[in-house]
Amino acid sequence: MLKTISLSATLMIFWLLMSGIYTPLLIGLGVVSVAFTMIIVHRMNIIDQETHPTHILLNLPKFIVYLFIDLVISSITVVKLVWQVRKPITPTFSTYKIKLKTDVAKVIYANAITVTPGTIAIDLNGDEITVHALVKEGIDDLLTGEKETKVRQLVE
Amino acid sequence: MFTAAIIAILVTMVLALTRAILGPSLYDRILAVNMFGTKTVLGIAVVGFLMGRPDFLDIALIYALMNFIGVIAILRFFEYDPRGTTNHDR
Amino acid sequence: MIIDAISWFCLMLGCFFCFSGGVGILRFPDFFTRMHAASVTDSLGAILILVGLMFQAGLTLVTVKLAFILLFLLLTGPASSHAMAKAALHSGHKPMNSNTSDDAAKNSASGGDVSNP
Repeated sequence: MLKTISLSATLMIFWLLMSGIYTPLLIGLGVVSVAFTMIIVHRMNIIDQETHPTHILLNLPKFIVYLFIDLVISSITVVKLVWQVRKPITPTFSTYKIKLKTDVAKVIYANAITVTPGTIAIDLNGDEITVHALVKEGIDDLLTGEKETKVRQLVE
Repeated sequence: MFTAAIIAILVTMVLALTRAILGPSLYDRILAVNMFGTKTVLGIAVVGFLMGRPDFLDIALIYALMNFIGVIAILRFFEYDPRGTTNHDR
Repeated sequence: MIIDAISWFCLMLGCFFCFSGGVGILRFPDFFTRMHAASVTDSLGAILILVGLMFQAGLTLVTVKLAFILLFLLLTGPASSHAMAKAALHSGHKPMNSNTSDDAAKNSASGGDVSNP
Protein backbone atom coordinates (compact mmCIF):
# COMPACT_ATOMS: atom_id res chain seq x y z
CA MET A 1 0.00 0.00 0.00
CA LEU A 2 2.79 2.37 0.97
CA LYS A 3 4.54 1.61 -2.31
CA THR A 4 1.33 2.31 -4.26
CA ILE A 5 1.04 5.73 -2.63
CA SER A 6 4.69 6.60 -3.22
CA LEU A 7 4.51 5.48 -6.86
CA SER A 8 1.39 7.56 -7.56
CA ALA A 9 2.95 10.56 -5.78
CA THR A 10 6.09 10.19 -7.94
CA LEU A 11 4.01 10.01 -11.12
CA MET A 12 1.93 13.04 -10.10
CA ILE A 13 5.05 15.10 -9.33
CA PHE A 14 6.46 14.04 -12.71
CA TRP A 15 3.27 15.22 -14.45
CA LEU A 16 3.32 18.57 -12.64
CA LEU A 17 6.99 19.19 -13.47
CA MET A 18 6.57 18.25 -17.11
CA SER A 19 3.38 20.21 -17.75
CA GLY A 20 4.27 23.59 -16.19
CA ILE A 21 0.71 24.87 -16.75
CA TYR A 22 -1.37 24.73 -13.59
CA THR A 23 -5.00 25.10 -14.60
CA PRO A 24 -7.72 22.83 -13.13
CA LEU A 25 -8.25 21.11 -16.48
CA LEU A 26 -4.62 20.05 -16.94
CA ILE A 27 -4.15 19.00 -13.33
CA GLY A 28 -7.39 17.02 -13.63
CA LEU A 29 -6.09 15.29 -16.76
CA GLY A 30 -2.93 14.47 -14.79
CA VAL A 31 -4.94 12.90 -11.99
CA VAL A 32 -6.87 10.81 -14.52
CA SER A 33 -3.63 9.66 -16.21
CA VAL A 34 -2.03 8.69 -12.90
CA ALA A 35 -5.17 6.80 -11.84
CA PHE A 36 -5.25 4.95 -15.18
CA THR A 37 -1.57 4.04 -14.82
CA MET A 38 -2.14 2.77 -11.28
CA ILE A 39 -5.04 0.58 -12.48
CA ILE A 40 -2.79 -0.96 -15.15
CA VAL A 41 0.02 -1.46 -12.63
CA HIS A 42 -2.39 -3.17 -10.22
CA ARG A 43 -3.68 -5.49 -12.93
CA MET A 44 -0.09 -6.39 -13.81
CA ASN A 45 0.66 -6.88 -10.10
CA ILE A 46 4.24 -5.64 -10.37
CA ILE A 47 4.62 -3.36 -7.38
CA ASP A 48 7.16 -4.98 -5.09
CA GLN A 49 10.66 -4.58 -3.69
CA GLU A 50 12.12 -5.17 -7.12
CA THR A 51 10.22 -2.75 -9.33
CA HIS A 52 9.94 0.01 -6.77
CA PRO A 53 13.09 -0.18 -4.63
CA THR A 54 12.47 2.65 -2.18
CA HIS A 55 14.93 1.19 0.33
CA ILE A 56 17.97 2.32 -1.66
CA LEU A 57 16.97 6.01 -1.73
CA LEU A 58 18.83 6.88 1.47
CA ASN A 59 22.24 5.73 0.25
CA LEU A 60 21.69 6.83 -3.36
CA PRO A 61 23.41 10.30 -3.31
CA LYS A 62 26.67 8.85 -2.00
CA PHE A 63 26.63 6.14 -4.67
CA ILE A 64 25.88 8.66 -7.43
CA VAL A 65 28.85 10.81 -6.36
CA TYR A 66 31.12 7.74 -6.36
CA LEU A 67 29.81 6.65 -9.77
CA PHE A 68 30.22 10.14 -11.23
CA ILE A 69 33.87 10.39 -10.13
CA ASP A 70 34.51 6.92 -11.53
CA LEU A 71 32.78 7.92 -14.78
CA VAL A 72 34.90 11.05 -15.22
CA ILE A 73 38.16 9.18 -14.57
CA SER A 74 37.37 6.35 -16.98
CA SER A 75 36.07 8.77 -19.65
CA ILE A 76 39.36 10.63 -19.55
CA THR A 77 41.22 7.31 -19.86
CA VAL A 78 39.21 6.31 -22.94
CA VAL A 79 39.56 9.75 -24.57
CA LYS A 80 43.32 9.58 -24.03
CA LEU A 81 43.36 6.19 -25.77
CA VAL A 82 41.38 7.65 -28.67
CA TRP A 83 43.87 10.43 -29.30
CA GLN A 84 47.11 8.55 -28.56
CA VAL A 85 47.78 6.85 -31.87
CA ARG A 86 50.93 5.07 -30.68
CA LYS A 87 49.54 3.45 -27.54
CA PRO A 88 47.97 0.08 -28.41
CA ILE A 89 44.68 -0.88 -26.82
CA THR A 90 44.36 -4.25 -25.11
CA PRO A 91 40.72 -5.39 -25.36
CA THR A 92 40.06 -7.99 -22.69
CA PHE A 93 37.15 -10.31 -22.23
CA SER A 94 36.72 -12.00 -18.89
CA THR A 95 34.20 -13.86 -16.77
CA TYR A 96 34.33 -13.75 -13.00
CA LYS A 97 32.16 -14.49 -9.99
CA ILE A 98 30.38 -11.81 -7.95
CA LYS A 99 29.16 -12.17 -4.39
CA LEU A 100 26.05 -9.96 -4.62
CA LYS A 101 22.87 -11.81 -3.60
CA THR A 102 19.74 -10.05 -4.84
CA ASP A 103 18.71 -9.41 -8.43
CA VAL A 104 18.42 -5.66 -7.81
CA ALA A 105 22.03 -5.52 -6.58
CA LYS A 106 23.28 -7.53 -9.57
CA VAL A 107 21.45 -5.33 -12.08
CA ILE A 108 22.70 -2.13 -10.42
CA TYR A 109 26.24 -3.55 -10.48
CA ALA A 110 26.04 -4.52 -14.16
CA ASN A 111 24.58 -1.15 -15.13
CA ALA A 112 27.25 0.67 -13.10
CA ILE A 113 29.89 -1.27 -15.06
CA THR A 114 28.27 -0.48 -18.41
CA VAL A 115 27.69 3.22 -17.75
CA THR A 116 31.37 3.84 -17.06
CA PRO A 117 33.20 4.05 -20.39
CA GLY A 118 35.87 1.43 -20.94
CA THR A 119 33.97 -1.50 -19.45
CA ILE A 120 30.78 -3.21 -20.62
CA ALA A 121 28.90 -5.96 -18.80
CA ILE A 122 27.82 -8.37 -21.53
CA ASP A 123 26.25 -11.29 -19.71
CA LEU A 124 24.94 -11.98 -16.23
CA ASN A 125 24.34 -15.62 -15.47
CA GLY A 126 23.62 -16.60 -11.89
CA ASP A 127 26.59 -15.21 -10.00
CA GLU A 128 28.90 -15.07 -13.02
CA ILE A 129 29.34 -11.83 -14.90
CA THR A 130 31.03 -11.42 -18.29
CA VAL A 131 32.78 -8.10 -18.84
CA HIS A 132 34.51 -6.64 -21.86
CA ALA A 133 37.13 -3.97 -21.15
CA LEU A 134 38.94 -1.66 -23.54
CA VAL A 135 42.23 -1.98 -21.65
CA LYS A 136 43.33 -4.75 -19.33
CA GLU A 137 43.55 -2.32 -16.38
CA GLY A 138 39.76 -1.94 -16.52
CA ILE A 139 39.27 -5.60 -15.62
CA ASP A 140 41.97 -5.41 -12.93
CA ASP A 141 40.16 -2.46 -11.33
CA LEU A 142 36.89 -4.38 -11.27
CA LEU A 143 38.55 -7.45 -9.76
CA THR A 144 39.65 -5.43 -6.73
CA GLY A 145 35.95 -5.42 -5.85
CA GLU A 146 35.62 -1.76 -4.91
CA LYS A 147 32.53 -1.24 -7.06
CA GLU A 148 30.96 -4.39 -5.67
CA THR A 149 31.44 -3.11 -2.12
CA LYS A 150 29.84 0.21 -3.03
CA VAL A 151 26.82 -1.53 -4.55
CA ARG A 152 26.47 -3.72 -1.46
CA GLN A 153 26.56 -0.61 0.75
CA LEU A 154 23.87 0.94 -1.47
CA VAL A 155 21.45 -1.97 -1.38
CA GLU A 156 21.87 -3.22 2.18
CA MET B 1 28.43 30.09 -28.83
CA PHE B 2 25.44 27.77 -29.03
CA THR B 3 26.25 27.68 -32.74
CA ALA B 4 29.71 26.27 -31.94
CA ALA B 5 28.14 23.55 -29.79
CA ILE B 6 25.68 22.68 -32.59
CA ILE B 7 28.52 22.49 -35.12
CA ALA B 8 30.49 20.15 -32.84
CA ILE B 9 27.43 17.94 -32.36
CA LEU B 10 26.78 17.90 -36.12
CA VAL B 11 30.40 16.92 -36.81
CA THR B 12 30.04 14.06 -34.33
CA MET B 13 26.83 13.00 -36.09
CA VAL B 14 28.69 12.98 -39.42
CA LEU B 15 31.41 10.78 -37.89
CA ALA B 16 28.75 8.38 -36.56
CA LEU B 17 27.05 8.29 -39.97
CA THR B 18 30.40 7.52 -41.60
CA ARG B 19 30.71 4.49 -39.34
CA ALA B 20 27.13 3.51 -40.12
CA ILE B 21 27.91 3.58 -43.84
CA LEU B 22 31.30 1.85 -43.54
CA GLY B 23 29.95 -0.99 -41.41
CA PRO B 24 31.47 -3.56 -41.65
CA SER B 25 29.00 -5.60 -39.60
CA LEU B 26 25.33 -5.06 -38.84
CA TYR B 27 26.03 -4.33 -35.19
CA ASP B 28 28.50 -1.56 -36.02
CA ARG B 29 25.71 0.11 -37.95
CA ILE B 30 23.21 -0.27 -35.10
CA LEU B 31 25.79 1.16 -32.67
CA ALA B 32 26.42 4.13 -34.94
CA VAL B 33 22.70 4.79 -35.39
CA ASN B 34 22.17 4.62 -31.61
CA MET B 35 24.94 7.17 -31.11
CA PHE B 36 23.44 9.32 -33.86
CA GLY B 37 20.13 9.27 -32.00
CA THR B 38 21.73 10.34 -28.70
CA LYS B 39 23.47 13.20 -30.47
CA THR B 40 20.13 14.19 -32.02
CA VAL B 41 18.64 14.52 -28.53
CA LEU B 42 21.50 16.80 -27.45
CA GLY B 43 21.24 18.70 -30.75
CA ILE B 44 17.51 19.36 -30.30
CA ALA B 45 18.13 20.60 -26.74
CA VAL B 46 20.86 23.01 -27.86
CA VAL B 47 18.78 24.23 -30.85
CA GLY B 48 15.94 24.96 -28.43
CA PHE B 49 18.26 27.21 -26.44
CA LEU B 50 19.67 28.84 -29.59
CA MET B 51 16.22 29.81 -30.82
CA GLY B 52 15.01 30.73 -27.34
CA ARG B 53 12.24 28.14 -27.39
CA PRO B 54 12.54 25.76 -24.42
CA ASP B 55 9.48 23.85 -25.71
CA PHE B 56 11.95 21.91 -27.85
CA LEU B 57 13.04 20.08 -24.69
CA ASP B 58 9.80 18.07 -24.70
CA ILE B 59 10.66 16.84 -28.19
CA ALA B 60 14.17 15.95 -27.00
CA LEU B 61 12.70 13.99 -24.08
CA ILE B 62 10.37 12.02 -26.33
CA TYR B 63 13.17 11.44 -28.84
CA ALA B 64 15.42 10.01 -26.11
CA LEU B 65 12.80 7.42 -25.20
CA MET B 66 11.86 6.64 -28.82
CA ASN B 67 15.51 6.16 -29.76
CA PHE B 68 15.92 3.61 -26.97
CA ILE B 69 12.79 1.70 -27.90
CA GLY B 70 13.76 1.76 -31.57
CA VAL B 71 17.22 0.31 -30.91
CA ILE B 72 15.80 -2.41 -28.65
CA ALA B 73 13.21 -3.28 -31.32
CA ILE B 74 15.86 -3.58 -34.03
CA LEU B 75 18.03 -5.74 -31.76
CA ARG B 76 15.09 -8.03 -30.92
CA PHE B 77 14.60 -8.41 -34.65
CA PHE B 78 18.23 -9.34 -35.40
CA GLU B 79 19.35 -11.23 -32.29
CA TYR B 80 20.53 -14.76 -33.13
CA ASP B 81 20.55 -13.77 -36.79
CA PRO B 82 23.73 -15.06 -38.51
CA ARG B 83 23.54 -12.23 -41.03
CA GLY B 84 25.03 -9.91 -38.40
CA THR B 85 28.49 -11.40 -38.78
CA THR B 86 28.86 -11.21 -42.55
CA ASN B 87 30.38 -8.21 -44.23
CA HIS B 88 27.80 -8.02 -46.95
CA ASP B 89 24.61 -7.80 -44.99
CA ARG B 90 21.63 -6.94 -47.08
CA MET C 1 28.88 36.29 -15.53
CA ILE C 2 30.79 33.56 -13.71
CA ILE C 3 27.85 31.20 -14.21
CA ASP C 4 27.96 32.03 -17.91
CA ALA C 5 31.65 31.17 -18.02
CA ILE C 6 31.09 27.85 -16.23
CA SER C 7 28.25 27.08 -18.61
CA TRP C 8 30.35 27.69 -21.73
CA PHE C 9 33.23 25.70 -20.24
CA CYS C 10 30.90 22.71 -19.65
CA LEU C 11 29.39 23.00 -23.13
CA MET C 12 32.74 23.17 -24.91
CA LEU C 13 34.21 20.34 -22.83
CA GLY C 14 31.11 18.25 -23.56
CA CYS C 15 31.49 18.95 -27.28
CA PHE C 16 35.13 17.88 -27.08
CA PHE C 17 34.18 14.59 -25.41
CA CYS C 18 31.45 13.99 -28.01
CA PHE C 19 33.88 14.68 -30.83
CA SER C 20 36.49 12.35 -29.27
CA GLY C 21 33.88 9.60 -29.11
CA GLY C 22 33.07 10.22 -32.76
CA VAL C 23 36.73 9.91 -33.70
CA GLY C 24 37.03 6.80 -31.53
CA ILE C 25 34.09 5.09 -33.21
CA LEU C 26 35.91 5.50 -36.53
CA ARG C 27 39.39 4.67 -35.27
CA PHE C 28 38.95 1.63 -33.06
CA PRO C 29 39.44 -1.75 -34.71
CA ASP C 30 36.43 -3.90 -33.80
CA PHE C 31 32.82 -3.70 -32.68
CA PHE C 32 33.33 -4.15 -28.95
CA THR C 33 36.05 -1.51 -28.73
CA ARG C 34 33.96 0.91 -30.78
CA MET C 35 31.22 0.44 -28.24
CA HIS C 36 33.49 1.89 -25.53
CA ALA C 37 34.05 4.98 -27.66
CA ALA C 38 30.31 5.45 -28.15
CA SER C 39 29.85 5.03 -24.42
CA VAL C 40 32.01 8.14 -23.76
CA THR C 41 29.75 10.36 -25.83
CA ASP C 42 26.65 8.84 -24.26
CA SER C 43 27.78 9.41 -20.68
CA LEU C 44 30.22 12.23 -20.05
CA GLY C 45 29.49 14.13 -23.28
CA ALA C 46 25.75 14.18 -22.61
CA ILE C 47 26.25 15.04 -18.92
CA LEU C 48 28.53 18.01 -19.67
CA ILE C 49 26.38 19.45 -22.48
CA LEU C 50 23.13 19.16 -20.52
CA VAL C 51 24.73 20.55 -17.33
CA GLY C 52 26.05 23.47 -19.39
CA LEU C 53 22.52 24.13 -20.66
CA MET C 54 21.19 23.86 -17.09
CA PHE C 55 23.55 26.65 -16.00
CA GLN C 56 22.15 28.75 -18.85
CA ALA C 57 18.55 28.11 -17.83
CA GLY C 58 18.92 28.87 -14.13
CA LEU C 59 16.46 27.52 -11.56
CA THR C 60 13.35 27.03 -13.70
CA LEU C 61 11.21 24.17 -15.00
CA VAL C 62 13.55 24.08 -18.01
CA THR C 63 16.33 22.85 -15.73
CA VAL C 64 14.04 20.13 -14.42
CA LYS C 65 13.28 19.01 -17.96
CA LEU C 66 17.00 18.94 -18.80
CA ALA C 67 17.58 16.87 -15.66
CA PHE C 68 14.91 14.40 -16.78
CA ILE C 69 16.47 14.15 -20.27
CA LEU C 70 19.82 13.43 -18.59
CA LEU C 71 18.23 10.84 -16.29
CA PHE C 72 16.57 9.03 -19.20
CA LEU C 73 19.75 9.09 -21.28
CA LEU C 74 21.77 7.66 -18.39
CA LEU C 75 19.16 4.95 -17.71
CA THR C 76 18.61 3.91 -21.32
CA GLY C 77 22.26 4.17 -22.45
CA PRO C 78 23.60 1.18 -20.52
CA ALA C 79 20.50 -0.86 -21.31
CA SER C 80 20.88 -0.45 -25.07
CA SER C 81 24.69 -0.92 -24.90
CA HIS C 82 24.19 -4.16 -23.01
CA ALA C 83 21.50 -5.34 -25.43
CA MET C 84 23.77 -4.58 -28.39
CA ALA C 85 26.79 -6.35 -26.89
CA LYS C 86 24.74 -9.40 -25.96
CA ALA C 87 23.03 -9.62 -29.35
CA ALA C 88 26.39 -9.28 -31.12
CA LEU C 89 27.96 -11.97 -28.96
CA HIS C 90 25.04 -14.38 -29.42
CA SER C 91 25.07 -14.01 -33.18
CA GLY C 92 28.69 -15.21 -33.20
CA HIS C 93 30.50 -11.89 -33.22
CA LYS C 94 33.76 -12.86 -31.51
CA PRO C 95 35.63 -10.14 -29.63
CA MET C 96 39.19 -9.35 -30.57
CA ASN C 97 41.95 -10.88 -28.47
CA SER C 98 44.39 -8.58 -26.75
CA ASN C 99 47.43 -10.36 -28.16
CA THR C 100 46.32 -9.58 -31.71
CA SER C 101 45.58 -5.96 -30.94
CA ASP C 102 48.97 -4.74 -32.18
CA ASP C 103 48.53 -5.70 -35.81
CA ALA C 104 44.82 -4.89 -35.75
CA ALA C 105 45.55 -1.39 -34.49
CA LYS C 106 47.62 -0.74 -37.61
CA ASN C 107 44.75 -1.23 -40.03
CA SER C 108 42.22 0.36 -37.70
CA ALA C 109 41.74 3.28 -40.09
CA SER C 110 40.25 0.94 -42.66
CA GLY C 111 37.97 -0.59 -40.02
CA GLY C 112 39.93 -3.82 -39.53
CA ASP C 113 37.70 -6.83 -40.08
CA VAL C 114 37.76 -9.11 -37.07
CA SER C 115 34.25 -10.46 -37.35
CA ASN C 116 35.43 -13.87 -38.55
CA PRO C 117 37.39 -15.61 -35.81
